[in-house]
Amino acid sequence: MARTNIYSPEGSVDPNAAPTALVAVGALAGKRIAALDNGKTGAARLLQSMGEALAERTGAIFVGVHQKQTAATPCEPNLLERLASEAEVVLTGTAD
Amino acid sequence: MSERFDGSPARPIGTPENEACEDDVCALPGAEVDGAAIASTEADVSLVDDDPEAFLEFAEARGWGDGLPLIPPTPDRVDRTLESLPAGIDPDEVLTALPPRGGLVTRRTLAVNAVMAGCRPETLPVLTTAIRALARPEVNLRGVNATTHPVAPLLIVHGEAVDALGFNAGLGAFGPGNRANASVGRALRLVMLNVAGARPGAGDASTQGQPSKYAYCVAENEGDSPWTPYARSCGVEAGSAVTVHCGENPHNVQDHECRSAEITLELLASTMTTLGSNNAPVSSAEWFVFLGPEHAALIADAGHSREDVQQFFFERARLPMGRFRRAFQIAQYADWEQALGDNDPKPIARDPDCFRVLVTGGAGKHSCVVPSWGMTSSVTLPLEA
Repeated sequence: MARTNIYSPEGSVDPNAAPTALVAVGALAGKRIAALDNGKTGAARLLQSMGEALAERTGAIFVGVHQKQTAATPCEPNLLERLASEAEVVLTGTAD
Repeated sequence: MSERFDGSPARPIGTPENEACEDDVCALPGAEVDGAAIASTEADVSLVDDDPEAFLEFAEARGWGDGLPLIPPTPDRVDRTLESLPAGIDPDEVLTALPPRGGLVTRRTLAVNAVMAGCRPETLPVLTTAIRALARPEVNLRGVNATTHPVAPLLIVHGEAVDALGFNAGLGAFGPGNRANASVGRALRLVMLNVAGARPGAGDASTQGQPSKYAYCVAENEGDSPWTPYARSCGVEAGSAVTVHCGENPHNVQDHECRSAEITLELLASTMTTLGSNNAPVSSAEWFVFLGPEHAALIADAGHSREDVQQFFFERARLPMGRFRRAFQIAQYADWEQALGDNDPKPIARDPDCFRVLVTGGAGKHSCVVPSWGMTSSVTLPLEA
């Protein structure tokens, strides 16, 4: 049976794209965890609960939830700097 | 060929270096084939048969495409598309990266998707320019592709390229029936799906989707427009240009009686005075207003310029501020809008320039408006290979 070569339509992936962090739960002990509320309905409540639960289970310290201006745009640079100074881990990414 | 993005030398398809094979998929070194995406620009695959049904099955199994039949992007077909480019252009130059996947765009990658969509080779620069426009930060493509809203990028072709490349700006301009409009619009969507990773349930969270996520391309009817060509009104003086606007499907506006320009404009304004679109909570969002030639002539014959039309919409497409407050606890309004009382009329858009007016279509008394996703701005660029 004839085989025909074709190109993949996907192309390469930007090596600078944000990598996925795989961290053992035990490694969170003593780390500060913050949360970024993206403005979606219920995000703050969900992230608050997640942060508190994660801290309780891992020995991390939950430092609280911050809210960015709108879900539709990237986080403001000054808020990113604040998160980076306050925590080693940031929870975010809830949808509708 | 040039170097790959990772710095290793690119090779032609089918060279002996193609050793990493699994199943019927072969990829050049550096690519990943162990269940993840094929990650090399020059990755090649071998399929059992070149017939349409076999290739559709093959593509479907890999999550490629839009569900419709595709033309296999063989090296010969892709090369024919790339050969239409001016001499000296590097087909493997990385032009941009598209979110959310971070897929790198080269002209070769665009040509592969253009072939799959059925594009004629000479239309590749339209697709390339549209992708350059979508990569501009003001478009906010990550949000456009990832949101639960049904938004799709609308590609608008302006100027000499419309006739030269066979785009339809006349009767039925939004489709169907014209290869250039259909295939270039579809190719843009294939790039979003395959390169940007905007696949439903993965990079695209659209609750319901919308038909324009298959293809969304139209051309401006400059010949029947009473006003300055749209791109020139945006400061783009090139002979041909491309605009992208990320929004909903078109909403029709009919006025068969056409008793006065003001009544026609009122009907258009009333179609935009709605709380259900994202334009309502985001007042910086644009409306694209596509006037049919007969409506445009009626309005222009009454002495109205494009700027007059924009000002009319700003003044007449309004609702009491209290209705906005009742509908939205989260909204993006200018300070002066937030200061309005509940009974004060608030415009659906904060500035007359948010209403983008141009002409398309043929005979008949229909126009349409295209709402925005919201936190995005249209971009118009000169056509560039």
